[in-house]
Amino acid sequence: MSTSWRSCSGTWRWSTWKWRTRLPRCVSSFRVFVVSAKFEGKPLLQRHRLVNTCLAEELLHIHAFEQKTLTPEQRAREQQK
Amino acid sequence: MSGSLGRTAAALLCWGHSARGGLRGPGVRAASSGGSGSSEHLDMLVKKDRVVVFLKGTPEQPQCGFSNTVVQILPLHSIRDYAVYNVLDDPQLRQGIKAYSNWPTIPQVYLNSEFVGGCDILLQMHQNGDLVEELKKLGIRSTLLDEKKDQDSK
Repeated sequence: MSTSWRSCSGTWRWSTWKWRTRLPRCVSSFRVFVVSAKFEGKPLLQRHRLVNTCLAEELLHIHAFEQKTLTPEQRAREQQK
Repeated sequence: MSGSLGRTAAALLCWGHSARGGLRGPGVRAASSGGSGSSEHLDMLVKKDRVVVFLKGTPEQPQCGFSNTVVQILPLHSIRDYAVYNVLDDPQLRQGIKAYSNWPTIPQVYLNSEFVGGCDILLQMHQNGDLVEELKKLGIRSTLLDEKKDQDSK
């Protein structure tokens, strides 16, 4: 199965995000990495719902979607490892 | 005679024998046709069993990588008898559960009638130990606890 990768990053409202798309022939699968202070104190499900709300329109056309959500502090700790 | 017939019926129920006929495998349920996507019906489904999963495919033949991940994780915590609904069998169910959960993708996992999340949330909960704790609240003892105990005692 041939795949192509597109990678883009940018600042979007209150967070930085990286959006990768993997486009095999028949299924589009997306993975989002979001770092935001707005995730502070929020459990996983709530974080993911925040992202889902922001991408509500896009998600109507997506069948497979993964996300990783970190606060800036968590991201800094991860980068130190 | 009646005792053995009763045991056979119980075994078929345990193996999720559907009203439509055919052995579907352990835990696989068929959402009833007609109104299967309605919030009333879905409310009933998620409350019927302690662990409920909406999948693409079945545990024996998952039809997507994320659904496969979910069915690989659950037995690691000794969850083998759980309710599974194959959304590929029922477009109404597939659309309905997305609206009911307010969640755009399948698979979807419910524990004790509460929506937990999809594959990536379940995977993170499995990796960070949260899933063990959530299952404890349901009275399900994860086998990972016993494995950890064995490792600690060595």
